[in-house]
Amino acid sequence: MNTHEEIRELLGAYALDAVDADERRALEHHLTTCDACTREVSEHCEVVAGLAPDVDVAPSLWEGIERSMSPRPEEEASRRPRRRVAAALSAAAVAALAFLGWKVMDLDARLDRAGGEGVVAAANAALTNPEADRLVLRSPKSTLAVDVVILPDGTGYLVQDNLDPLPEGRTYQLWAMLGEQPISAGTLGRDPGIIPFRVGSGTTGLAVSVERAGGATAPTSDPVAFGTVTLR
Amino acid sequence: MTGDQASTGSAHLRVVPRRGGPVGPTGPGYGPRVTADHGATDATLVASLARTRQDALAEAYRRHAGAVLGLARRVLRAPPLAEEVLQEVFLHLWRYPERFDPGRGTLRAYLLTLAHARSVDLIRTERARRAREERDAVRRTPQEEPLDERVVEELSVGGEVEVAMKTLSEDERQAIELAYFSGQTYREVARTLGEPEGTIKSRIRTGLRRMRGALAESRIGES
Repeated sequence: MNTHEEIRELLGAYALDAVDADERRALEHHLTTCDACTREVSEHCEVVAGLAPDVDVAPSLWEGIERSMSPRPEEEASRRPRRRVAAALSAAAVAALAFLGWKVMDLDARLDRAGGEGVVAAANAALTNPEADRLVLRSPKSTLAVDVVILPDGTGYLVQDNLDPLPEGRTYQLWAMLGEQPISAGTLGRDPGIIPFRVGSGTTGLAVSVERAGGATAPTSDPVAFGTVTLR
Repeated sequence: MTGDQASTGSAHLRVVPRRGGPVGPTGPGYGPRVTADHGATDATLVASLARTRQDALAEAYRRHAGAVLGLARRVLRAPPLAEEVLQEVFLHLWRYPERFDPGRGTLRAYLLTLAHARSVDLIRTERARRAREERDAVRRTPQEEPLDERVVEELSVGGEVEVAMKTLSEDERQAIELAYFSGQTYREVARTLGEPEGTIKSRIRTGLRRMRGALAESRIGES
């Protein structure tokens, strides 16, 4: 799709979400700099808005929204200490954490939650890999924190956290943000230990949300912790 | 928003935050050190601000939830999923109100654009999943309706849009309705209808522009 005319030919379909992913990306890129095309798309959207059938809405649906509007009050004003670290972290990995100011509070091994020694060994290797990025996902008030390490190829490990264990029927879920679009990077369980995950190129952030057990296809509530990522 | 929201913090306290207790209608904590006067006033003020925002969202919901839900249902044909889309759209507005640009169009169109994009996204994710399963399945019997069975139903819309639609050719109307309501890309619509892709692209765009013209004319006629 090269010429402006070729782009214009797609504006109608684009307004109807009827273009494929490559075309959509190219169009969105074009629209950031073209007022005329942006105006045309807006006009098409106004037109199709009239095609939406109007239906009755059950009052219970508003209640769900209303509930989600209130943020949970943070229970403590100060940052809570991380409560668990797998003790099988190698000395070098512990040194890497300490260098970054992470407090290693508890050296008891949680191999069962870590998914076995293989994962712990891989996480160790990642932590001591100079190419790796280490980042902290935080809640809005920084009382909750999730420590994560990511390698340049997108493999990563959740290494430690101070998330509350969840009740039955819920799970933490990790999301890779592609701009605003969250892509599931897997569920973390009710009480995460060391968890491997993988994210793709173009990932701009990571977020953790609480979902029903089994996970969700999209986050159903605000993330409990999030952070930005720059994959080299 | 009601007049008593702009209270001076004396008589109409909705909530008085207590230290260590549940706070306000909207959280978050107002901080542990609250003096008797200013603290109560500030807290009420912030609570009022929050209440006003909530009232505003409730009003937007009253005006547009029906259309958002109606569109999601029509596209998804799965009421529970449509309800999720409804919630997502209004929560998105709640969290990112600054993303709506009134200079660019109406709030209704903005919300419906969100709803439509999300619904189509869900459809395509589901189709991709089923296609993968089908490829992996031993039995080759397809489980879902083939694309060309998504025939265009008679669309009943009222008012000026109906009038505007009547100005379109049958081809234009069909292309727009298929593209908009089935979640297909224009290429898939072209395959469904056995037409060249360029033709479908063009019918969609021309049809939409014709409708815009018709709507503009009918509005001028009214004024």
